[in-house]
Amino acid sequence: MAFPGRATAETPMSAPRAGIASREAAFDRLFEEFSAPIFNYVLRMVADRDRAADITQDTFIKAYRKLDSLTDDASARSWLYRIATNTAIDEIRRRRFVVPMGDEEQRHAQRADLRPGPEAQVMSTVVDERLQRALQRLKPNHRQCLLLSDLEDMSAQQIGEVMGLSYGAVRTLLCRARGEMRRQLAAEGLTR
Amino acid sequence: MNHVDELISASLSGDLSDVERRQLDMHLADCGRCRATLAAFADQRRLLSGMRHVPVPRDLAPRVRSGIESGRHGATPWWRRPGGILTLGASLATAAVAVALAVFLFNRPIQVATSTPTPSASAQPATATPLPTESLTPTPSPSASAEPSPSVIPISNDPAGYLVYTLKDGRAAVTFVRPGAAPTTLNVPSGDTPLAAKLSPDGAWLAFRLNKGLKGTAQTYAYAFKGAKLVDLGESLWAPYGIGAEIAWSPDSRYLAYSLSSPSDSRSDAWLFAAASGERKQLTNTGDAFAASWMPNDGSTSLLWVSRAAAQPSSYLVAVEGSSLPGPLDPANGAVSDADGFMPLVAPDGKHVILWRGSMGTPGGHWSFGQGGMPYLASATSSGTFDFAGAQQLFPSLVLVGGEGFNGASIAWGPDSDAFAVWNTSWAGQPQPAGFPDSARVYFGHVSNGKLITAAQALDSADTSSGLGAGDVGGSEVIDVAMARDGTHLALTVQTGSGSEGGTFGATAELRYITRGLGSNPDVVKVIGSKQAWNGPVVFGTIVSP
Repeated sequence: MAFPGRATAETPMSAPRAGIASREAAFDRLFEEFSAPIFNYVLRMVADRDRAADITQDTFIKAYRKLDSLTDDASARSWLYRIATNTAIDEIRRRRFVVPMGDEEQRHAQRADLRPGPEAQVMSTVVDERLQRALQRLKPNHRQCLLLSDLEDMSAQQIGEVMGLSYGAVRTLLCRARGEMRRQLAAEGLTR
Repeated sequence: MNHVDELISASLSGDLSDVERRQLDMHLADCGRCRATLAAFADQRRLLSGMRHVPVPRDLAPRVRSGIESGRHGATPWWRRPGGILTLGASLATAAVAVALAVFLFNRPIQVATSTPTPSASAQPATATPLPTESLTPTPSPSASAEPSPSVIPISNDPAGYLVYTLKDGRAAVTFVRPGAAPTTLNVPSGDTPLAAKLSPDGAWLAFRLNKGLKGTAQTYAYAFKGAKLVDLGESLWAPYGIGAEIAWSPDSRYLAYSLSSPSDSRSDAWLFAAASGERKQLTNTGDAFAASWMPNDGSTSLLWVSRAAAQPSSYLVAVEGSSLPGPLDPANGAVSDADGFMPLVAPDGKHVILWRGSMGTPGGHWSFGQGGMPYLASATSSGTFDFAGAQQLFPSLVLVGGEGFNGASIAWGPDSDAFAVWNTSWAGQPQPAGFPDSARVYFGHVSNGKLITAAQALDSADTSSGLGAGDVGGSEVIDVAMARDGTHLALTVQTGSGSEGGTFGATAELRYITRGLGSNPDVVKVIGSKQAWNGPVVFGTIVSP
């Protein structure tokens, strides 16, 4: 067991371990830079703090395993968001089979109201709660591209990289998402 | 939806060509409907971009690491997983990488949040008022750049001082601040934000645990005021839900009991430190054991409760005596007494004990309660044992149905043996009623009032929340609760920022000194310490000066 006196990061490394350390350092940087924004993005996707934490956890575990496929630091952000998005979509789909009752999206939209546990507390302010409710009524791909654009401030090109869509397809999808969101915000009394 | 709408939408993210921009501008000049669309889309973008930033859960880093190491999902409770228990076989190669990962991956302080909450007027505790009397003002030290600048506030009920962590220009420092003395710099070789601190009853030693940031572990130390001797007691995985976080001095101050969970294989065992000899030794060897609390002194033998986590956990009273520390051993062998339940926390006077019951498991490698987890209060009998059979729920109103219960929580007794505090509650089930129990609140009860813990025993929400909104669990987190001996004062260490901020300073915490308001009277809160530091935990008692 590694307790008092165990080797630490300050212990001199052998050559193979130094290579591993370099890889781990790269992952360390990714986690440090992106864990918070990814968690928040996923949180807004699923409106549930526990689920968002689970999905974020899975995202970084997958990222670690696929780290060798990341060859360009500049694309790291899109790469991570793609993994997070796919993981979230998979989780949403899987829950459709697990949760047999009612409209899953509506169920979670209501959950913020009915259950002031940690998830609901995250959405505790009025505007935030209404915004989240409106988001939850969008189709997942609409919600996804809207969050990537307006929350994450990504361009159509970057959103395309995350969602695997062409530039033109993203512009069209985003426009439809904004139109739908406009209606949902009106229903929540959050529009002019 | 038409082509112009698409141009309007694209204009918000800078995705228009020059030609498209000119087309759009010309159209907008003549079309009120499209100007309204632009305004609506712009509002929408403003609203979404302004959604609140929620800090990541503190246990995310260790969960990721655990998942990588084990090749399976981390600390997700198994009853919450859509597909049940998900396990992926970890190859030997993965395991080898994971071993290195344990060393290298999480070796930085937590710096994941991108913003530091700014307290709002409604949630901002009362500002401390400088008084000329007793204060915790430190005198200048040689390393002033890394030292905190605590506010001057009065503290009654014998505070001994508090820990402070600062990060400035990449330089970290942990100090102990106390009234009327220069701050003591604790030259810790590793670790950053203090998570817990306990003063030995004789006032000679300070035991404390430091977070090790993204490494997902904590380091335990003991510091002797006389001779400024620092002893490294070992590294352990974080203690989710407070399980494994106890550091307990024996009433005679001879021994410190604590638990270490191995970062390499998650095995947990109880350890002992002997203050006189400086010896530290592994007490148990079962890999599922945790040090809980000491019985009041009775002669030369010290009695320590040690628990073994299991589907049906059990606890054993182990005798520690003489100069030679026992162990490693199975606490079931030769135990003085035993009990069904987990982590018996004995009140200082020995008249009451709080212990957990429920079914435990290791989702993600950490022990926690899976079903029916609940702390119970038992009283001592005339024969000197506890009436465990007659124990009552510490939260009497909560109904354990359908596997509901706590995953765990942090619990501490006040020095008066009447007050107790419960915080970091993790309730796996529907609230009963709405908002109760609340993981963001601190529940403060007294055995003598007979009600134990109800929603009414919660400290005011403003006591523990940050500027992100009262009751916002993501906005702040209670790290530690220490109680004064009068039963009405508490000191809370509340995390208010996760660090980063361009590296200007690290994670921050406020030390909130609370005078509990009775009835409908609000609690009075005074804030100690610098905003650009991690202040706390506090320790009460009396330090024996060197």
